[in-house]
Amino acid sequence: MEDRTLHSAFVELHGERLHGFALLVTLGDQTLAGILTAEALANGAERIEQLRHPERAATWLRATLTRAARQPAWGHQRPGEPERRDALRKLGVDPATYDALASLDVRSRAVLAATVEGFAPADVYEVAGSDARVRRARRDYLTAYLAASRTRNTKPPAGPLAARVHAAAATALSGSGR
Amino acid sequence: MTDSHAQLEAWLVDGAMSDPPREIAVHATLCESCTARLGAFDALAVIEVAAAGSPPPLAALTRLRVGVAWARRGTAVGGTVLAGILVILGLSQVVGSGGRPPGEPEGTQLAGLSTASDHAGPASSQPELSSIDPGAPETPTPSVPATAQPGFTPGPLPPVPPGATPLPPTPGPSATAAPTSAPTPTPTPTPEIPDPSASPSQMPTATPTPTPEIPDPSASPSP
Repeated sequence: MEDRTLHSAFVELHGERLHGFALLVTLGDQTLAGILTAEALANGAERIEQLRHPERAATWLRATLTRAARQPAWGHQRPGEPERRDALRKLGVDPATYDALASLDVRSRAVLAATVEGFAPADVYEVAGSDARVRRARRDYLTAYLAASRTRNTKPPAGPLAARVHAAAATALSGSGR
Repeated sequence: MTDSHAQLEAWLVDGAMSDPPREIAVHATLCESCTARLGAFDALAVIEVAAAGSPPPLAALTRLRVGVAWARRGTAVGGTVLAGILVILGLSQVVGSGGRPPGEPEGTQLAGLSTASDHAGPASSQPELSSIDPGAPETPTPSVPATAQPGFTPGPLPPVPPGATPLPPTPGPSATAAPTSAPTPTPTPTPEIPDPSASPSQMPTATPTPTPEIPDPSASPSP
């Protein structure tokens, strides 16, 4: 009984975000994302004693899911692009971002998904496998996004990162004015 | 200027953990391409992963996945079994034809094989002989060599050495013990017909079967 409660709590704690992670990694393939999420959660529930720390469990689940996503899914009928775009649009993925993600491999998408989730660098490295892969994934994404943005003639949004840079610039300018 | 682009890009690729250097920050606020670079990662920031909702029920999806996995394993096992069968069949073909010298007539070879098959056991040889040999007369004439059908190439049998191909080599009583009794289940008295084909096969049937009663010398090999 206690095990079942623990298992439910584990799934409840990690299920939604892991599902979103899987959707990003599979580029909007909802069926495959569901299967990968279910498998990772089932595997994690078996190791629930080792994964009591939530952050440790979250990283482990994403690394496991990424490894599984890299295996060929024989017999699985992949959805069309409109369906994928639609699935990711619900998460807030804009068209240029979709184009950029589509140009990346599974592991690179996992790096960006972990970045989106705000994982610590060490955890992102664990998901990707190495520091070099993390850097390459971010660089490839940046290049692809800029190309897609140019093609679509869209202006990238200004978000928290831009705000941080503006704040740093303001501080620098005010400091130099003194 | 280019350096500033590269530095901002390096900062972004490194994860943008700490604040950017001041000069880079000032440059980025004024540079359109650097603003676009910032926007690329800000586009990720608006993604709400939790909006995906709960994953579908575990059981159904896992069952689907297990089905795919089993199909994958089944394909592998089936392929292996099929390959094994093909290999065995191929080997039996090789063994079946390998013992015959190139120029040797088929009949003699098969006759030799038939004697060899005697060692294999009576149970296996009898039904095959009767079924394979459509031309064999129903009459109980000791026409064991009627097994000289092309189809009768029992693979796993020990190949007959080339030197042993002549028919007489099997006069040994041990070689003919079991099978000869099968084709000649009824040692009927048909000696009136000097069956020419009977002569070569007389040898294998050296058992206490009717052969001694046919002392017709004219029945000797006359193909």
